[in-house]
Amino acid sequence: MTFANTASPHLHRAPSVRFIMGMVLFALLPAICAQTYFFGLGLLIQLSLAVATAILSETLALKLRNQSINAYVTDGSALVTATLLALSMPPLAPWWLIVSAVAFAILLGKHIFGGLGFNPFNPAMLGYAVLLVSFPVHMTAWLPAKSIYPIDLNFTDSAYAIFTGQLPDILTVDVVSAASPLAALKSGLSQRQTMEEIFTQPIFGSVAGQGWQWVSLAVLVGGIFMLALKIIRWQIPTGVIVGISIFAWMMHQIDPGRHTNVPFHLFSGATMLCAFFIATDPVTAATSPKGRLIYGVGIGILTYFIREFGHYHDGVAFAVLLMNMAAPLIDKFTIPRIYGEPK
Amino acid sequence: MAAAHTPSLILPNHKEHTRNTAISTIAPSPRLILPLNQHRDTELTPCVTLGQRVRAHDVIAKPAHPLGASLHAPVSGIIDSIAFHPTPTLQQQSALSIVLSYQPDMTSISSPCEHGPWQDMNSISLCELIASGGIVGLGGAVFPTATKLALHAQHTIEQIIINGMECEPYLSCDDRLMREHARDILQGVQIAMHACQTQQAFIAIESDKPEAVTALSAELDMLNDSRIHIRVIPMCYPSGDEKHLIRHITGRELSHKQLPAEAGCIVSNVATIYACARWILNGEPLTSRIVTVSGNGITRPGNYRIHIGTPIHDVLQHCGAVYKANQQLIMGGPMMGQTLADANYPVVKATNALILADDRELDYPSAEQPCIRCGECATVCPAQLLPQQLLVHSRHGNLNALRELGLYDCIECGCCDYVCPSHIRLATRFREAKRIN
Repeated sequence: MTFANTASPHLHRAPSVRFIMGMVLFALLPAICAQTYFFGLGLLIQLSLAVATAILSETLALKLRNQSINAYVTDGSALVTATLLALSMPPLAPWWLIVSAVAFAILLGKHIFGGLGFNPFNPAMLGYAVLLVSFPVHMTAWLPAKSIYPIDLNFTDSAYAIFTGQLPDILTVDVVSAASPLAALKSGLSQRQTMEEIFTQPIFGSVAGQGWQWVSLAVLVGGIFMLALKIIRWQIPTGVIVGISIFAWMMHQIDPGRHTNVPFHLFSGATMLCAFFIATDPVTAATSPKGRLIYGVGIGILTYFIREFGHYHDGVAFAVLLMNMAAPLIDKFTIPRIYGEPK
Repeated sequence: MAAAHTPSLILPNHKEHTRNTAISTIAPSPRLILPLNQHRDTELTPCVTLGQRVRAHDVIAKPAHPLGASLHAPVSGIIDSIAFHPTPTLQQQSALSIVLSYQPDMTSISSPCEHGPWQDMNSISLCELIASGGIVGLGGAVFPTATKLALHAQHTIEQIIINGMECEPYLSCDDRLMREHARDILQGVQIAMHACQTQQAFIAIESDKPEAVTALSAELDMLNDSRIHIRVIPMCYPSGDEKHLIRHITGRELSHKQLPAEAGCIVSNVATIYACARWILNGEPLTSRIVTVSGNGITRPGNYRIHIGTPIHDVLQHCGAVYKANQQLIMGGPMMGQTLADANYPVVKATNALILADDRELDYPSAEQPCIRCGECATVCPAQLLPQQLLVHSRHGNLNALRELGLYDCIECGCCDYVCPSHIRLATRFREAKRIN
């Protein structure tokens, strides 16, 4: 009788990479539902396109790299990238936008560096940033939330718009260019409007944008679920939220006429998505607990400054990419004290 | 974040199958194989010849150093051969071994060597006496106990810590020993205290062994020795690690370069202390030990007193082993123990457990996936290392970076493997990196 010869340890805890990615996707469900409710069925079409592109690109890349397709496509990481990108797209953005964003993210954001675990930049944010720089108009053409413009855009209308690039007749150009709350705030301020004037616009809600604030809340719910299951740790989300809040609070105290309050920043744009789902991508973040806190705070601060002083409405993608670059350096300076070394 | 700096892993303990059955003895096998490499850092030279008749407890191999441990015949019999035989040491290489064929008719036992009451002996001669009883660390390290106790010549020993933690899953041999032989253990503690000239002893027991704590406390009350203290330490893995135990008791953290004696401590396993007592008080050298035999391939799991040198297949047969496909045979605990390729190896002094289980109970190595840098490994590392960074540098063979990141502080406890979602064999990589560099 002979037995298998393997090295210790012989016990392991179950969750696999696949399980973790599955949980991340599950935690995104409230956000997907809320965003579909407020911004239409277009998101579901974007999501299908994103997932299909992700699987195809992943398969292609693995084939070219002579890697096991089964083992890696099923790890679910590409699906997370695809879902995050779909959530960041305006619901009626033309099909080639999401397809090229996902393909870029998977092929040039991930596989060119050696696949999962080796990419220095968050693939989803890389894809998003490239598209934002290249097609700024398409990428910011958000619809107003359904709660203010009760336009019932059915599935066929949405699909027509996405696949032909032609807006359905019921949508006027004005409605589409109503843009996101962050964009509206920025353009209002640049036209020397006062805060009061800006916030009388119908797209603003009690805390932040109509619809947007609820989507952010749904993201937060998913985020707390992941924290409770220890799929993510508290350092990065806390860092991002604290980073944004500190500066938003300070600037609001100094000049409330030009700088809006903390809750608006937290529940606008991609703040929550960034704090819980984007910045928490472990591959591209710093690794030690202390390093992750610094990394999160850095993303928060950069996001705030890009929003307030930069050219773009939201700063999440660029903030994440910049901090991705800083992650190795943060790691180098936050190596924990080894047991037994002097304190 | 401070909490991450203490061992924090709660493992499924699998002790329930063995911890409630009393220790029973397995009768000697017809042939006993006694490898000469079974004491750490000790070269043993046989002092018997082929065909020689020996009595039980006769010395059959001697160490070069007077404080090294001797090897004794577990039973009476005839020296069958002195030849190379596979031994269950880490590399599973062959080692020169004395093979003894058991002769049940020769019942005489070597008379215990004459010595006065141990209380009257000076510490050095007591240490030498302990060495001659073949006492080595039975927690798995098999380092000669006398050498350790004699460290008081160079360092002031403030306390001796008796390790009754047994934090590895499955293992319950020390638990049973403390429950059944509390008195002997306490007497052993007194002997060890005398041998290392210290006035304080702490018996550290994990909180999952309340019966052992009760048994020892009751005996301690009767013995009325105020120098001995019992400390209950919260259950987690690897709290039984020597350095963490020292911090628990003394508050001092030792690096991998420091010996416990430098912090005024000697750490010794309860089974070792018990073996000391049996030798000094009853004249019985270390020729048998308690072994936990468990796993889903064993129909009669439990704790058994087994003669050193007993072939493992005899042990497994006695315990009703059922052989199936995809089984693993592990000597030691599932976290730090090693697999054995077959059951022809003998039980040695380091054998604290034998686990026969299949892949439903133990993990079979699954395919590794890439590291996603989740950092879970760093949160459980008791040495506070960054296993994930060590992995990157071990792939690149970057020795300086590995040193800087504390490769040699790694105690190979396997916590990082246990939590890795990518199923990367981290501990194996680190073991290899240490060996190559």
